[in-house]
Amino acid sequence: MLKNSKDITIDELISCVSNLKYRGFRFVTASCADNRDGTFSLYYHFDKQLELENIALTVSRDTAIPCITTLYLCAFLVENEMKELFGLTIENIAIDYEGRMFLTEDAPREPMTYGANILIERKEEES
Amino acid sequence: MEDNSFNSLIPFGPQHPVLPEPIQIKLVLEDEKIISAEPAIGYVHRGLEKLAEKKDIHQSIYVVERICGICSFMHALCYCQGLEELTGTEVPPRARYLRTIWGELHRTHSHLLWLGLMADSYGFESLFYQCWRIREKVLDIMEATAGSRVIISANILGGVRRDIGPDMLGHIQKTAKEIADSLRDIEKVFLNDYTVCHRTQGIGILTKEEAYELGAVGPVLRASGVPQDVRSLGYAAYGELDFEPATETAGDSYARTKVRLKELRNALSLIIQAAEKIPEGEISVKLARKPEGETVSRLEQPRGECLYYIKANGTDVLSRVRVRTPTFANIPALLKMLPGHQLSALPVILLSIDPCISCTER
Amino acid sequence: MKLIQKAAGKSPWIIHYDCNSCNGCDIEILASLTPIYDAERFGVVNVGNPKHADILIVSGSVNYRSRRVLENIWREMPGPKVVIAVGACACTGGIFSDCYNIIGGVDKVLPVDIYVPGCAPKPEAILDAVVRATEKLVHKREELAARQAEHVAKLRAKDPKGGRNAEKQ
Repeated sequence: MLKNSKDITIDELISCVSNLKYRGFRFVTASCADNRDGTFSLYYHFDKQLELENIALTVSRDTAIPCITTLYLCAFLVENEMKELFGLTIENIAIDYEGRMFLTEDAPREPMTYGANILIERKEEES
Repeated sequence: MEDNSFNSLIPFGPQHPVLPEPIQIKLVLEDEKIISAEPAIGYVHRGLEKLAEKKDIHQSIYVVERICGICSFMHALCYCQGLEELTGTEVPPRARYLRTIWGELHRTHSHLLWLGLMADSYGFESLFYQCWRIREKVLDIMEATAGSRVIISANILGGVRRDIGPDMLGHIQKTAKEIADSLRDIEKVFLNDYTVCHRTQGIGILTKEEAYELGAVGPVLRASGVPQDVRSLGYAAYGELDFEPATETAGDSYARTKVRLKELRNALSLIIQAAEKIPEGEISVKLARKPEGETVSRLEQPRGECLYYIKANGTDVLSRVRVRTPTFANIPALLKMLPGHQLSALPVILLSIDPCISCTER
Repeated sequence: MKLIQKAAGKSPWIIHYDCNSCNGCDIEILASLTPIYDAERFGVVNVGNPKHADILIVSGSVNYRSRRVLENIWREMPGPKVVIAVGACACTGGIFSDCYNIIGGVDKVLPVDIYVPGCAPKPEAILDAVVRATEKLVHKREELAARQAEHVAKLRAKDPKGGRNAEKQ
């Protein structure tokens, strides 16, 4: 658990973020991690005079996550990134790349998820 | 008179003489005036965050260093500081000072590099060469102290890999003073030359409110009048050294140049201070235990605030490393600066945020 | 014709494309063009237009998106051309070779003439590569000229009267 972190539910997200905005916080970024049990933990990091405030969320892949770009436009890059690399459902992003921000058609899909079929292994030495 | 203007869509990049790195900016133009801009990225996306989850914590240092070759030391430092926090390891004071010296050397070389590229963006080639000539002195120190010019791999978990001897520290101080002297000549051109000022003043204005709202970081934020610098948190040895965040209020490309020039002077003074105050002692300790838990580690890179979110599970392999790099945060600000300017001003505005695309895309 | 053969080796024009690299190699390539190392003393000019270039310097490995760009640049360069792969990533994929978005080294996409290993290679190594690329360029031009001459000779043998026209081709 992070310091200065507050657990919330998905319905509280927008009200919580607008509260932070009202208090003069700056959006820093959002982080996403695969919990390896079908859920993802999401953190939204905010900052005011170098004090970091975090909002923690746990979502499943199909949960529709409300987009915060209406409040903080600068969140569009990171929301697109999460949508693309983790396959999360984030709707109505201000500038939506439709899952083609980093990856092209022929690249692996949703590569950051734990179950993604990507082989990164130490290559056997040929004897 | 008939209105002959029409809108056109121009893809700027990914390969363009002014761009050191591939990024594409899709511009909507009305004649030569930029109406809107949208970035198209992904030309440098490798997937290093995934790779860091597959290597063990010590190997991952070399992975995160290669996120960006210009600020590689800072990336490794941010990562190491995060893990040291998770394992409860106290880094010896000498290592903290050495980290500060190398960190500020990196800032010096990065800012000189940027000044050169900026001069190149308005076609001032001899100024570009002068900046890079001065920069070589920093790289020589890097090579002498760590064995490599750009990716120096000096950080390890719990300290640094090499010590710097007293002779070398003296040499570093001497060189820092020399660089400060030679800066005086290029400063004059960047700040007073009529043509250069004409290309930078009033170009790409970002107000204080916009910069704050759009989450800009580093020199871009400070040039708009927000004195935010993560170094004030006092990580490494910054808490014990004397320094003041450089700020400007105009928020244009000229102000951003000025902030970076001030930071260069700051960095050189920090190097001299750190080399004077450096205590004797060990340079590294072993990690106290295996890392467990989550943390956010932040530090000030040459381009701005860098954030690492690290999640560990008590083993040697981390379950998540997430990197938010400064350019990633500055792109929304860039999109705000562009509209209303002529197409010919684009290279200057683009370079004024000091874009580092390989950082952005990891 | 002879003059051009000779001149080509005296002033090769290079184009640099950062394919997927971490910037370490790029700044070293730029450093090798600046006065301390000064590749320009070999007549090297760094150009931005692939149509003007003889030598393509690539740093970094190839990913799925930059592949198309790299191929485009190479295709637009007029022949004969030389490709230099700078850095461990450009040679084999390096530390990134296991990443999900990486195809591999530059030689997976283009024929590479000269490899410069190192992470990042020193400017001296890059200078050496440029000098060798110049030699290779001259060699390739000579080969091309020989092939053209052979072709002309063949056409002459077929049609002795069309001499002038054949030579023009």
